[in-house]
Amino acid sequence: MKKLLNTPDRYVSEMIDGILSAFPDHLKAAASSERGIRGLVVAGAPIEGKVGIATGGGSGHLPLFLGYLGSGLADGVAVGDVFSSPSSQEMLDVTRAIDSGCGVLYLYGNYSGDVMNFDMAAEMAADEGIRVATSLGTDDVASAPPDEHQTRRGIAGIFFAYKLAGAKAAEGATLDEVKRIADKAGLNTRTMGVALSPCTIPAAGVPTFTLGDSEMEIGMGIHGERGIDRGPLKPSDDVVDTMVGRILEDLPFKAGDDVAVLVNGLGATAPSELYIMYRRVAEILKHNRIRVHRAFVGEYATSMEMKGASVSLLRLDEELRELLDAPCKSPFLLQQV
Amino acid sequence: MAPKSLDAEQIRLAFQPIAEYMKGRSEVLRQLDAACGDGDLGITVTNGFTAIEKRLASLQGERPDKLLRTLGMTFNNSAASTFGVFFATAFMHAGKAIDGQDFIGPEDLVRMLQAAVDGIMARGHAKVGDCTLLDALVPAYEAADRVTAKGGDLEAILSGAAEAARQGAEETRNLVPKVGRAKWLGQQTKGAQDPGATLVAYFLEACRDALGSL
Repeated sequence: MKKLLNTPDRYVSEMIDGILSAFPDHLKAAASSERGIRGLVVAGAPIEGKVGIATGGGSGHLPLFLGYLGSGLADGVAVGDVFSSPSSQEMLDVTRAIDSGCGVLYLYGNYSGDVMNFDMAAEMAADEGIRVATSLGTDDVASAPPDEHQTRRGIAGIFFAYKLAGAKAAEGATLDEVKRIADKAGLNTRTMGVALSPCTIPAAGVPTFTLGDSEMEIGMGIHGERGIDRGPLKPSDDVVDTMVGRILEDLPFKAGDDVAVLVNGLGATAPSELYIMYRRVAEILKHNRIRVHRAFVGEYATSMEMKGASVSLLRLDEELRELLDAPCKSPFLLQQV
Repeated sequence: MAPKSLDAEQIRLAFQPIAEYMKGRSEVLRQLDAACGDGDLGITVTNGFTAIEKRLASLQGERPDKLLRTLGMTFNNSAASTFGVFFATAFMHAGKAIDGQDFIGPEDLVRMLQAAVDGIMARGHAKVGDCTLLDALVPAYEAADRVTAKGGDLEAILSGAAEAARQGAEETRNLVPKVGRAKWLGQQTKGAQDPGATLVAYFLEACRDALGSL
C-alpha cells in the first residue's frame, strides 16, 4: 500500500477535518462520536421553508458524497468508514440538523448496510415528528437484469438525482414532489463501469481484488463487486461501445431522445482518457440520433485510487431539463445560469 | 434464586456479564462469518459489547425502555454493520414494547421477543428458513410464548428460549441462505452454521446465565 496518510484508523476523520477547514464558510459538523466528526451539513442548515436532502454512505468515493452539499444540491451527509455504512445515529443527527419542518429526503445508493441504517434512522426521525421519504440510486446496469432494476446498486449516476432533486427542493417544492423528482431521475438514469486496477482499503492494507496487468473487467462495482465480463484490455472505443451499447438497450434510449451524459473517472484514470472515452460516447449517440443536452466529464464518484471509468446517461424531458440547467454551488461543483 | 420480575437496575447490572460472555464468543463468530460472509461479525461483537460495557455506568436510574433503546443505539454506533442494525432494531422495538413500565415480567419478556422478531423481519425482509438469525430468534420467541402460557417464570422462559435458539442455530446447517452475502455462495454453505443465528443463541444463553446470577 502506497498512500499519503498518517494512520489507517484516522483516515476518515482526518479527511473530514481537512474538508471542514478548507470550506469553513460552506460546511459545518453535525454528528460526532468517539470516531470523530461523521456528519456534515451546509453552513446555513436548516434552510427555512426548504425540504432537506440527506445522503451518506461509506468513505472513499469523493467527491461523493461531500461534494454535493450546497445550494441547489443536498444539505447533509453522514459519512462511514471506508466502504462501510455510517450508523443510524449519525444519520439521525444529520436529519435533525437539516430539517426545517418541511421534511427530509434520504437519497443514497442501494447497498444493504446503508439501506438498513437509513431505514432505522427514518424510523427514529418519525418518532421525533420529522417526516422522511427515501429514494435510492439504482443505476448500475451490470448489477441486475432489467426486470430487477430496482435491486441494482447505485453508482455515479446518483449525481443526476442530487442535481435534479436538489434543484426541485431549492424551488420550495414539497417533500413528495422532491421525492418524485429523485425517483424520476433514478428511473431515467443508467450507468455502466469498467475497472482496470483495484483500490486498497487503508485498514486492510491489501487490494480488494486483483486484475492482471493487461486485464479489465466491464461492469465491476465500485467496491470490487463482480462485473459481467473480465478479459484482456481493449482499445477505448471498443470498451465504450460495449458499455454504451448495454446502457442504450437497457432503458431503452431511442432516436429523438434528449440526454445528459456523465463520463466519470474512478480515481486513477487520467482526465485525457475520460475525454477519449467521451468522444466515442458522443459519436455513438449521434449515430443513434440521440441529442446531448449537457455533458459532464471528470471525477464525480471515485473508488479511491481505482483505475477505470463509468458512463452514465440520463433521459431528459422538459421538466428534468429545466432542473438540470438550474444553478448550483458546492465546494466541488459550480453551475451558473 | 432468580428474580420473578426485573427492574431497570437489575437489567443494567445483567448487561455486564452478558457483554463479557459475548466478547468471549467473538472469535468463534468471526470464524463462522468468515466462512460464509465478510468476516466482520467478530469485530462487530467485540466493538458493540465493549461500547455497551462503557455506557452502562451512565445509565443508572434510566427506565427499562430507555435503557434498552440506548443500549441498542450504543451498539449500532460502534458497529454500523448489518448485524449492528439488527441488534439496535431488536432493542429499539423491545424497548417500545415496554414503554413506560418500571418492571419486566414474564409476559413482557415474550412481548419484547415478539417485537424484536417483528422489527428485524421488517428491516431485513427475511423470513424463517432463509438461514438467518431469525432461524434462532423465532423458535426462541415461540418457546418463550409456550413456557409463559404454562405459567413459567423468567428463568424458565429464558432457559426455554436459549435452548430453542441453540437448536434453531444448529439446524441452519441444513439450510441454503436466501438473503445477505451468504446467498451468493448458495449451496456451498451447506453444513455451515449461520453466524447470526449462532450469535442469537449465545446472547440468549448469556441472558439466562446473567439472570441466574442476579
